[in-house]
Amino acid sequence: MTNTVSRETHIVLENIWKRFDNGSVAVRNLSLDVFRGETLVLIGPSGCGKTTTLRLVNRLVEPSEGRILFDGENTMDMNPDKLRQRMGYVIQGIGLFPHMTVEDNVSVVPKLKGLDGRTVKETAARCLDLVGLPVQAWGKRWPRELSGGQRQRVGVARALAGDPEVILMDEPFGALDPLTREVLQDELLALKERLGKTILFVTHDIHEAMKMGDRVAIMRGGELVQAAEPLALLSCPADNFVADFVGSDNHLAMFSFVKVKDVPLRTENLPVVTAEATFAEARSVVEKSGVRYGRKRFVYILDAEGRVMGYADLESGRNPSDPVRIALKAAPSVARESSVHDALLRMVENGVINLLVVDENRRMKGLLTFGDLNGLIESQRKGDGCISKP
Amino acid sequence: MSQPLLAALLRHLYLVGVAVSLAVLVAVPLGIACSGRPRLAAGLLYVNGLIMTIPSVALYGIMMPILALVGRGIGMVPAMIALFLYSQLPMLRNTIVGLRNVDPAIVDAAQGMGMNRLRILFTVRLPLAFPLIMAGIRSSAVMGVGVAAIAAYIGAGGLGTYIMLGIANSNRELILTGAVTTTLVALALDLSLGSVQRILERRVGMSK
Repeated sequence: MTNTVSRETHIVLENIWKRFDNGSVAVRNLSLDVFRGETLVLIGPSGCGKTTTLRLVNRLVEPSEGRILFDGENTMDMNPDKLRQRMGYVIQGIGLFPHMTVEDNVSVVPKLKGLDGRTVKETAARCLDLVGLPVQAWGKRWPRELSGGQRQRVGVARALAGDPEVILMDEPFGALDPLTREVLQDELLALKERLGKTILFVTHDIHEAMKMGDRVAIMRGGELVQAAEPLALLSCPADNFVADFVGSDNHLAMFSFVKVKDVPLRTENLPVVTAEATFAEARSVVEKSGVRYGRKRFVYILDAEGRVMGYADLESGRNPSDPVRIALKAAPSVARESSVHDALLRMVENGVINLLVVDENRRMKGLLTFGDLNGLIESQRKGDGCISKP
Repeated sequence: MSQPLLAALLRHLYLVGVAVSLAVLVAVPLGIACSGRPRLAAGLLYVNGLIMTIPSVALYGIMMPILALVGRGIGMVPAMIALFLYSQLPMLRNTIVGLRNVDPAIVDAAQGMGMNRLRILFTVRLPLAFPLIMAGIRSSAVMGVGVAAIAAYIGAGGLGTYIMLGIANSNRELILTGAVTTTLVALALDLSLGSVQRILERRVGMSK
């Protein structure tokens, strides 16, 4: 869970029922709190009511029973168009307007909100920049000239342009090839960190759910089965349906959901020196930290800003008064947002059992060891920390 | 081109122009109004289909005694009424189909962004249905040129006069003059409406 998530509720669904005119019941007595700044993923087999639940929030579907509070206000008391302008909406296949340029598509909500021409232009340019499609190069293009991934980016920019408090996304990446989907997921995660919006995200892909969600709500037959953080779903599934759905018994699969930042990392007493340190100083730091690779001793080298430069092997008969930087080698590292699966892969590729964890500026955030991963599997197996089962 | 032929041509264009323009003003709004009401749409299209099956000569014949009551049994008025009625079907049908065929995902996105019905109609659905609506207007106009030629029999004038006189006098040259000019008018009208359509579509990015 990221620090932008609070425990303050943003959207509250209270005992929602939705019966359609044809007699089918899409949502059964669903109650769910969405917290400000979190990404909540709705997932379940097709027909489980996840899309209906999303559309209930912006009143494209209206509840038969129960009420939905947005910022404490009953949505049925609000003007539906005004309500929707406060919520970005991204759907599968995007629904870009084919008769409008990229810039005009992104300008729709700012114009609806009555912003003046210059502000609309600035907003569109800023939002297109955020998704990596600068307006100078892309603004005058037509949607049909873009690739699927680019269209989806425009869709996200369009949803952001109204400066919404909430973004609703209905299988936004469902129609993309796996590679593009991966890239867009990462971009959305990065955007989310920057913007801190509340996101409600519908998908049928459990990998996507575990990757994107601060919390994941699993639905079946119109009912909410369990809503919890990804790790909690794995270690404390509410029932067999959830366990099967998330694949609790498959540790390797689990590793692709769990992020490096979810693993308790070693952050203190790290074998780290600055580039000016000598071999003698480095050795004493390493002794103190006790981190080694087999019988080898090594030290990570940081620059003056705390960015990782690389590592140095201390076993090569160096003169103790030489600076360590003369033995500098590139160090394998992994981002906090990466999956444990990626981290493991990098360990194997590089033949190491310790991996530096860095942020987007390559600042050191901790050290991930193979032992930590072992501990993670153990705690999952035992179901440690299962407080309650909803 | 001779003076009388030019006059007949202009009269012909006037007849078609006024009748089809009035028909656009009725058929397109009517199509919009019933695009969300499938039963009303089906009923209207049925009635219009019936009108289309009446041969134009017969329609003029039916209208003559009725309009004679107000002293307008022959001339421009019955001709325009007939043209107006015949023009309805292609435009009405294309407007309804065009609006109905707009990708529901796009309308859903527009609604989800907070556009109201009217705005969705004018900024999303109508522009997207425009090519089909325009195609309906084009077929109405071309058909109108042909129907208007027969209106010469009820004294509406126009290029049909040459054909009528040619047949009456067994004058092949007169028939050919009328027929060829009528055909050319129809072709020219279709082409010019086509380029108007392309210019408008290019402005909204619907064609390259």
